[in-house]
Amino acid sequence: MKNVRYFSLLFCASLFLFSCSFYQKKNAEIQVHINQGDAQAAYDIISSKEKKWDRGNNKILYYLNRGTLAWMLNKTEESTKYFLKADDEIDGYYRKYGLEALAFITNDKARPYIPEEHEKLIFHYYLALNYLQMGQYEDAMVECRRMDLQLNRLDNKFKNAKEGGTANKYQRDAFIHNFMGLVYDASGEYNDAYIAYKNAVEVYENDYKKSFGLGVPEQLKKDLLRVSYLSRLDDEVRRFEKKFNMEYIPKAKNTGDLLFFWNNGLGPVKGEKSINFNIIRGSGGYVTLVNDIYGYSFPIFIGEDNTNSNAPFSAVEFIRMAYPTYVSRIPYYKSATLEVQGKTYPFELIEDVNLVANKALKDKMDKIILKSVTRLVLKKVSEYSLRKEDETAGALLGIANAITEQADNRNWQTLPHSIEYARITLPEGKHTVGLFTSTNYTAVDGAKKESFVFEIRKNRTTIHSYQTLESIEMR
Amino acid sequence: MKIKILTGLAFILFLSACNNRSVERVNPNSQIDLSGKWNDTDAKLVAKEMIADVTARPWRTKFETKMGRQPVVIIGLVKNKTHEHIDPEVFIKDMEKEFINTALVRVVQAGEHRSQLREERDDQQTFASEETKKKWGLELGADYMMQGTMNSIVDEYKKEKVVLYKINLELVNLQTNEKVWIGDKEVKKYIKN
Repeated sequence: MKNVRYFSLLFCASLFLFSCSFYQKKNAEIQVHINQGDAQAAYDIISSKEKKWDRGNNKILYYLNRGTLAWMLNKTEESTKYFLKADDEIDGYYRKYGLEALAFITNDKARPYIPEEHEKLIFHYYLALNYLQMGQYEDAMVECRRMDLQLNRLDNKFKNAKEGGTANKYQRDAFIHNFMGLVYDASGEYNDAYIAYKNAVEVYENDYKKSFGLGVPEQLKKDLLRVSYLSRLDDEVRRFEKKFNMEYIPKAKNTGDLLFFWNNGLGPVKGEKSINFNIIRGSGGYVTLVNDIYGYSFPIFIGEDNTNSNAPFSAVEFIRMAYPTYVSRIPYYKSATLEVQGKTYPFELIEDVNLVANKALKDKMDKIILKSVTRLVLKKVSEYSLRKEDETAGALLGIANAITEQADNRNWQTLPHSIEYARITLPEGKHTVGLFTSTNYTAVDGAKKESFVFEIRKNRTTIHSYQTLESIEMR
Repeated sequence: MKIKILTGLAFILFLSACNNRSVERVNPNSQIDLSGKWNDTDAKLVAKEMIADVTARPWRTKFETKMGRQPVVIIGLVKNKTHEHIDPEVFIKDMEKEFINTALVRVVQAGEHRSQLREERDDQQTFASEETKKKWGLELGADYMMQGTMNSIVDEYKKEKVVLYKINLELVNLQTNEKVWIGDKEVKKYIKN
């Protein structure tokens, strides 16, 4: 009887934990608004009821989303504040063993959200953009150095898998290298910029080309030539001129640059898929979980008691396992151009966040599945051993286990689908710049989306970033 | 049975994870390291040691013998080239304090606070009485400027991290651009998660 009460409690607790929470409900509302391109409405939701948002396992996601939405609405200081809160949370994250254990017996959603590798990197991109917006170049460069540290962490993760050559994993991020270069470049630190651009070229060539079909952007080639020249590395200038089949052309006097980042659409949303495993009983306390479609086969030790004929798996033929997967959102706009004084300048793609996210998840899928399978088997074993003592309690635990079998489908959902950029060299003074967006890839029939006025200063870089949210379908 | 104990344990741990916040007052001079980042203790220690070094070097006595007075110093920029958002202001203030406390050099105001002083003096020209208003052109001109950079090197693998902060300071003669003192101080931290 005591057991029954205890497990009813656990059952209720799990129902409570996984019922529709405040976060999930509100986040769904926000998603509707941003899919329609209404950042203000989304911001209105996230900026009210702060106390309810600012707690629990999804705190980091709240900070990240609020930071991003505030950034979209040019609330730079607020955006920075929330990104820094997220930063403290990521940095100070330590595993709470209670939550880890709960996550192990239920699912990963029971513990605080830990951002994905690409999210941890793009996060610094936003912070750096904010600091640049506020004219704090020194702080923007701090973010660059932190990007470098984060890139090292990412690289270390796959060090073991490397064994001479890359493991074809999302292990290096070309966009982040490129962006670091752009910030150093704008701050006049040409030697640092040279290193970052050079690394970016290497990663675009070797990793991005193969994984995402994205080669070295033309602008990056020009930038690398220019900073090599400014760092007085004449040999490098000649080497890159030959490599890119491109000539270094010095900038005209009394000009400055406009560097325009276009964040297009929305990144993927994490969903859930299931996979069924057949359970094959072996000897010596082992069972093997097999899925022929995916070619998975996991031998798992469950103890001698449980493999004899009265044991848990005698009646079970298969079990269902939930795992996370990304659902892409396709941006409404396919291309864009900038227009200044009747001249048009195209944007160039530098990061396909959608593809990067998918690759990053795929790379750790084996780990996720192995962990989930172990959990699943333990759940099953606990259910059946309880059933032997108390049928009702066992059944209840069975239901609780089925309900809690969910994938961790949390992710940073206000990220863009892709990031593109353009650098335009303009004469000193005020300029009106038009942004034209188009629904086809060739940028023809572009309609004017917005117009900006920029003050271009001699030998300086004016940096601006812009987000279009509109997305058309879920796929 | 084992499983049941485990589940129970996990549940209790889950409940105990909700912790209570407690606050207590501590001595501002006590060393407390939480995250391993650059903090107030580092700024204080570095300022103290470097100022002790700079005031003990021969440039000061040479200046005094030649000019017959104490040198006047202004603290210029300390550039943050580390991987952390450090406000150099805290460090600069600590240095000014240490300098003044030695009573061996004189320190003049710099940066935006100086602009505020000038604004106030400007105001006085119109609003203050003739006897009390302060005159233009009587500021104490600095003989030397202190400039510097803060750098960091991070080496980490998995849960271990070594951070080295290196602070470089230079004292430069404002008239001749001659460097009269160069000092550096390192702070090394080993952080384990």
